[in-house]
Amino acid sequence: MGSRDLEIEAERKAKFMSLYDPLHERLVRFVQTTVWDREEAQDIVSETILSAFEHFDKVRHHEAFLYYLFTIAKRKINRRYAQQKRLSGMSEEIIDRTPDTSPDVHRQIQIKELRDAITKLPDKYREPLVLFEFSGLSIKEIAEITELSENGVKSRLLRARQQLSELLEGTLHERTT
Amino acid sequence: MSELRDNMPENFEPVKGETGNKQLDSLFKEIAAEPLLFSKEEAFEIIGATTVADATSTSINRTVVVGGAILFSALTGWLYYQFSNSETTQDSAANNTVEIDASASNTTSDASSDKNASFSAAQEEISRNAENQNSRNDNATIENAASENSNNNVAVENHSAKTNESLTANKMISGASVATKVESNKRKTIHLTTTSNKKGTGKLTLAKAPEVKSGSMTLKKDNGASLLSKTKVTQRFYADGSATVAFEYNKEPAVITINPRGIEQLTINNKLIKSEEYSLYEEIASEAFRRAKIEPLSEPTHDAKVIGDIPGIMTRALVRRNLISADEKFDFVLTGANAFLNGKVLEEEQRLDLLQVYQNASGKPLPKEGRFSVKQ
Repeated sequence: MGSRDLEIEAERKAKFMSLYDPLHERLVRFVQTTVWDREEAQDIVSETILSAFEHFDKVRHHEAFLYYLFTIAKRKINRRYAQQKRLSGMSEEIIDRTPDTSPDVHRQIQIKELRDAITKLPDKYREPLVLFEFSGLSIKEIAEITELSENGVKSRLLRARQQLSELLEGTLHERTT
Repeated sequence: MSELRDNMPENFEPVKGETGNKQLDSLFKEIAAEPLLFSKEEAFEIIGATTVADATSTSINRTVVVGGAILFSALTGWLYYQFSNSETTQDSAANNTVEIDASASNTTSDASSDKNASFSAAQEEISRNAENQNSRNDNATIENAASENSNNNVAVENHSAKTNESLTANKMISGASVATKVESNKRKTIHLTTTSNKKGTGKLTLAKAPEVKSGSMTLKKDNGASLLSKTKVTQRFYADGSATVAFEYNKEPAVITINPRGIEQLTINNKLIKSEEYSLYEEIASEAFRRAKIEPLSEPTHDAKVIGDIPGIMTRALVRRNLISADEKFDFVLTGANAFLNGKVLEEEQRLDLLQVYQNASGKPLPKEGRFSVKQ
């Protein structure tokens, strides 16, 4: 490889990282909130970065990079979920391996229950919820990623919140009283 | 959806962290404040570890398929030149990539592993030459070349030369950080040439278990502690149900390709491990199966190229699915359209599931007019 090729490759890497850098935290939060298993989440993030890097030259407009990156992550997560469904007992393992960050035992239980409830949400509700609440994406950005109208995203978000409240209604109430 | 719109309050503008449920909001905040599982530095490492060879491998593949034989002879000459000349240049890393790809085009099912081994040895030789040169001349340019040489690897799958041109390119870059780049443009189902497997009639013989050669390699294991570093694991999955997982093993890059039959290929520090030695690397194999969520049909270290005991595998599959008990006598028939167990037709879902097990075990689908039967 000539020095010119190395230069071009270095430029390419720098360009990718300049696009990726502002989205890093959003991407990782999206993955780690959707996939609760630490190792799985790390794998998905690294695979997403690699895939995005391979083909990012095809992204004509820089504004489309967010859509491009999150679409890859979504596909990787969906494929991993499909794989897990083929194996029995996976979901239990995932819940059990989630990190405990809160020192309060009751709080830990509540967080685990919330994670469990988010996992149980249908994909169409879970995705907008995680992107909005944890990745901090705007309604417009989510609409682009999910290929929905902005109103469609809002209504799914509303429904996701409602379902989550319903799923947690009994448990949260019992713990606090 | 229309129902949802009807229920949605007018001018509903959601605000992050304000769901209307205080407990939920508080839990959301706690989760949103959790530390990131993947740092920006790790992302930089992954991208920094990729090489230009990744981007060029597709075009190289095409070139290889068309003019592999010519290229091979030309590069053999080049290799000879390299061996006879201790001077190593910055370009040698890229040349190495082409050279190994050329070997892929000339691979026959029996000779591929030997050729890989010899090319791997050639790579090491070149790397050593570069390092020696470096130590003599204290030349920074050559040091870079040596570094790239020693960490780039293009490995070749064992496959039938007639039907397949599949090529797997694994590149391990940087001794400290491990990243895998896999090109699988032409990957196809591996066709095994064992005579007992050709007709798919179910009259399958047990393949001879590979013997483990003792003393042919040294496994550096310290006090029984794990040699695997799981901090840098990358995986790639293929449509044929196989996966490539890269680890850091004993501080060296290890890349393993597995499928439900066992190990397709294992390289440690760019050195292709012989199938006879797979059992020595059970830790890597088991971890790869666990991480890739692939269930091995027999043993994790089984050589995927060797046909397993298919009637045995199918019997165990039936037992695991509670369709028969372990010591029960049964008559199972699997065809492209139906599955019969003791004369009863199995449900479509069960048939497809068992068909998948058969395909995983044999490495190829049931022939169109084929039929597999096992009786005990």
